[in-house]
Amino acid sequence: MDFFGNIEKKLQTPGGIAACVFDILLTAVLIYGIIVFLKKNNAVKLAAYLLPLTVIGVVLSSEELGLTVIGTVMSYSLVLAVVAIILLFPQEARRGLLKLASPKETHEAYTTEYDVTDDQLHSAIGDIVRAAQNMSKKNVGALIVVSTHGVPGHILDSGTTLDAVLSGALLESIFNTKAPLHDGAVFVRGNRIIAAGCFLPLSQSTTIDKELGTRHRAAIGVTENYNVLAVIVSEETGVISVAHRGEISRYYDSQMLTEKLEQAYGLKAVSTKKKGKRSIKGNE
Amino acid sequence: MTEFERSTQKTEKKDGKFVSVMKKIFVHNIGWKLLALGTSAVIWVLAAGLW
Repeated sequence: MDFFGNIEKKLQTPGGIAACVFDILLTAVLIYGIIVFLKKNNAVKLAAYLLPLTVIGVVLSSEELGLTVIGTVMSYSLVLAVVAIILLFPQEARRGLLKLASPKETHEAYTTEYDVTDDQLHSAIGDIVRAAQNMSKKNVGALIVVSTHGVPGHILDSGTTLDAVLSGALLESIFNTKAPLHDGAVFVRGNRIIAAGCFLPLSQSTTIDKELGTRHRAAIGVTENYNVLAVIVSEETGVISVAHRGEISRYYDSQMLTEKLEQAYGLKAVSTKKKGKRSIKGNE
Repeated sequence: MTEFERSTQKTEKKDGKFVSVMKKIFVHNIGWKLLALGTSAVIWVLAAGLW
C-alpha cells in the first residue's frame, strides 16, 4: 500500500489540486452544517462521536484494507446517519421537511434578530414583572418562557404565533382565564412575545414537590431541555416562581424577579449571593 | 437575546455590510469552522491515500 504515493498522484496537476481544495471545502461545509444542526438541537456532544466515527469509517471502508463487511457498512454510513438523525430528532426533521416544502410560510418570526436597545429590554422586564405581580394578586395562573438563546421551534408550532411587542396589558390579556390562549405558555424573546398558548414538555422528575401543579412541572420540563427561563404564577396561591436549568425557585418578589430577568437578558452580572428563596430540585 | 448577540448586532451596524459578511464567514463560530475544516482535511488525506 503506497499511502503517500496515492496522495501525490492526486496532487500532480493543477486541476487535481483545485479539485482537492474544492472537495475539502465542500466536505467542511457539510460537516459544519451538521454541527450547527446539532448545536441548535442541544446535541452538539454527538459531534464528539460522529466526527471520529466518520474518520474511522473512511479508513475501514478503504479497499486496501480488504475489510468487506465493515467496509460495506461504513460505505452506507451516510444513509445510516440520515436515518439516525430522523429517529433522534423526529420533530426537527419534520419541521425541516415542511420548511423545504413551504419556505415562505414557516418560522420567519422565530429566526428574526430583533434590534433591541438596553432601554427597551429594561422596559420589557418591567412589563413582565408588573404583569406577573398583577396576575399574582388576582390569582391568575401564568407561564412566561423567556428565551435568550435559540427558540425551540416544535414547541412554538404547538401554539399561536403572535410576534407582538411585549406589554404588561397584552400579557395579562393572554392569561385572562376567558381568553382562548390562556391555557399554555407564552414565549418571549427580546422585547417581543413570539407565541402564546404553547404546550411544553412536562418534567418526569420524581423529586418535584407534590404541591406544584402541571404548570410548574411544564416550566421545569422546558428548562431541563432548553436554555430558557420560565416565570410561573400559581393559580392557587398566586406565588411567583422562576424555573431555570431544571430547578425551580419560589416566592419571588418584584425586585428578585427583575434581577433574575436582567441576568437572563445579560443586562446584569450573575450574583452569587442567595436571597433566602426556597429552591426545589427538579432534575437530579 | 444574549449580551453576545446584542454586541454582535451593534458591531454589525458599526462595520457595514461587507465587513459584517466577512466577519460572519471568518470570525463567528470560528472554532467549529476550523474543526469542520480540519476534519474534512483529515478525511480527504485518508480517502486519497487509502482509496
